[in-house]
Amino acid sequence: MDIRARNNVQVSGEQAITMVFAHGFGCDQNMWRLLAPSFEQRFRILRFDHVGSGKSDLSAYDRTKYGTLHGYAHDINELLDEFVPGPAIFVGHSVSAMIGMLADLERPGRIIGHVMVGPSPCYVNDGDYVGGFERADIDELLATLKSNYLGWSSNMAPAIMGAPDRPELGTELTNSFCQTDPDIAAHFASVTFLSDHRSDLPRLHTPSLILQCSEDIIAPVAVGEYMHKVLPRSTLRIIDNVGHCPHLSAPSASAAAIEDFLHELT
Amino acid sequence: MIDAPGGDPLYEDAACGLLLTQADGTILRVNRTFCAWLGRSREDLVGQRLDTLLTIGGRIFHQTHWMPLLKMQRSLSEVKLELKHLDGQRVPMVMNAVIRTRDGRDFHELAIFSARDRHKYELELLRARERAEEHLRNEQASQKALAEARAGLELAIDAAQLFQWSVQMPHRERQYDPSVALLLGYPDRRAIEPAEFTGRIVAEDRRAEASALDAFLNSPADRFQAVFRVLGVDGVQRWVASWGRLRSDASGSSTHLVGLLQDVTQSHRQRAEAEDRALLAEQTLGIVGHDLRNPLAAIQMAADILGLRVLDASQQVALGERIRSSTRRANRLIADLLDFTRARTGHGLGLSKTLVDGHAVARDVVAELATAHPGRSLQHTDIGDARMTADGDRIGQALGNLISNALTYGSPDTAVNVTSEGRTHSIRFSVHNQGTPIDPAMRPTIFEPMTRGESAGHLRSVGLGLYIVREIAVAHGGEVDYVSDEVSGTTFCIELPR
Repeated sequence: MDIRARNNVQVSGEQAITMVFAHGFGCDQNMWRLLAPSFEQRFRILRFDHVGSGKSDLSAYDRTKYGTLHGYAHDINELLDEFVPGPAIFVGHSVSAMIGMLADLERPGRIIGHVMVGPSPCYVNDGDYVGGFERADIDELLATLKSNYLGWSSNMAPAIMGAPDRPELGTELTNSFCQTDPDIAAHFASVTFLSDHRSDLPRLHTPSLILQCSEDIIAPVAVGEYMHKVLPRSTLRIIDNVGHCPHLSAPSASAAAIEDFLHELT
Repeated sequence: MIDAPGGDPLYEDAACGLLLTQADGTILRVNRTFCAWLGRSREDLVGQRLDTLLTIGGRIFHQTHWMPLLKMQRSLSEVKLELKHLDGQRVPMVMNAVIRTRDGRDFHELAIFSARDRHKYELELLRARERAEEHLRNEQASQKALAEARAGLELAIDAAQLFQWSVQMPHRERQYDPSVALLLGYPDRRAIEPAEFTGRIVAEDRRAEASALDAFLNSPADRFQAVFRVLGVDGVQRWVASWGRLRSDASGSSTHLVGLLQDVTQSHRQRAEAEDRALLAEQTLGIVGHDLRNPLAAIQMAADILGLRVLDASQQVALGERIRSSTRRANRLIADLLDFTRARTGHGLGLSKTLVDGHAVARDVVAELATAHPGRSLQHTDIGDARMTADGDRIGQALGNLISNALTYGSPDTAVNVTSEGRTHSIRFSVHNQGTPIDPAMRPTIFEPMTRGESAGHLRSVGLGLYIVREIAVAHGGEVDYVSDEVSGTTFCIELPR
């Protein structure tokens, strides 16, 4: 199997340590374009799309394999085998933080540090645990995804507005990121938002940075605090940011927090 | 736009909702149109974050998909959202957004359109798509079922050793499946042209098959059926049963005939053998029941006469001769019956050939029968050298049968002439008598067993005798034939190789 094509793998640099950037649900590797450049000087950079997202090989999408996060974790280890000869720092956004953790638990010793951006081990409230959502909310999300069919698959965005501040993002790119098959998106959403990996957290002994936004409805601060409490070698950094994507809306602050973590690590 | 004068009707009452928010989504300005669409006041909205107006599911979608897109592209178009009206209803809306930087800060400018109809339309599309997908699934399931049924049918056709053919309407073009080649004796499947197939139907059956098919196509009945023989390329003749049924299109007109062929040689042979066995049993019973009864009745009568009264010498001689004659006839019948049964059950007649003189054989038989029929004129003529390798007893038996027939059917007042003639490579025996010629209608079957005279009233076992004559001739590699007419009478000839 051609893993490079399957996961649309993009590698740059020749440095000893590789930073592996894994996007979360809803987007693709483009979401790292504001953050990754900060590390290009010192690290080899590997970006990819999960199968079913972005420009991955959609024909490789197997509902059974990707019916749990372990399927994605398995792919991560294949990527490490194929493209990462040395140690890796795994930067995972949202659900990918958990995917990176599962990959590390499955084949320990290859990832020397986890940068978890807006992670959550469980999105649904459960007794005392505050995940941020009720089960009904997740069902509503799935219904929303369904009725936004065009939002996923639209190729016909008319690009009525320019982006005068960023000419490099030509108008033809409007809405062209993060497209995928709507059915796969819905499946990935249910796998993501119904996953529960709280019991795996105590088993991970690799140093981890929890990059928590101050206001994030997807991964509320309470979740970051829970993770910091349960994850053995974790550091919690709260960034002043509203939203779930600090690497996009606060790239400098995010980079600085990651630099601090890497400094201690390497 | 943050500087636009409040109350400008072009802004306030624009044909769409217009909003200005901070980068985190906090609403800074909102026009009247938007307020009216959501049933909310400006005071209610300003200072709130836009995503609080979304459903929770919508918020997740917004945060995970649309916000990253907007941040990367700095503009978005035609994003569909459901916003909450004050009364709790959800209002489907479409949003365009652009990020503008002023004084080093990012602001989001939003234009929002009500999209109730588009929403309905999309739901319709979605439902249509789901229906289409269901149809597709059903179609795939049917295809699968069809494929399985076809596989089952092919297995059945294969196991039953059936071969497919068809006739396309309206031009009645025949087509034969490549497997039909096997039926024609080819070792493998191969393309079979219709002309080749019909050409391999044996001549006697070809016209019957063609006219049966034409008759069926002219006025279709339930199904076409025909049995014919084909001569294979391997030299083997096979019996073939052919069936067909007409298929019609939706309008009811016939489009083609689907047909099957089957090699029925085996069952045909078995049936013929069964019929043969039944016939054999019938014939045997006929001989025992009818032909043996006559001589036995004659002997019985002679015995009765002997017991009734005292006879003079000549009467005794006559009675003794009648008993001898009847016994001879009964013995001959039993011998014939045994030979007949042996020949018919495939055991053959059993020849023991030696070097014999054909003239001597004929002479002995003639002498014997002359004694038995003192009142009849019986003459023998020999010509040439008649030495041959043959079973002398069998030839005598055959000649005896022919001479007995001649004595029985010939005019009593004329002679029966027997000739044995040595030819270059063969010996020819002929038996001639005058009298009523043989009915030409009997010619095709006269050498078959149990062929009798024309009416059941005075039938006699001529056939068994002639059957055995033929069997003996054939067993020697020779043949038997006859000529019969009013003027020259009847002559049977046996010609045997030396």
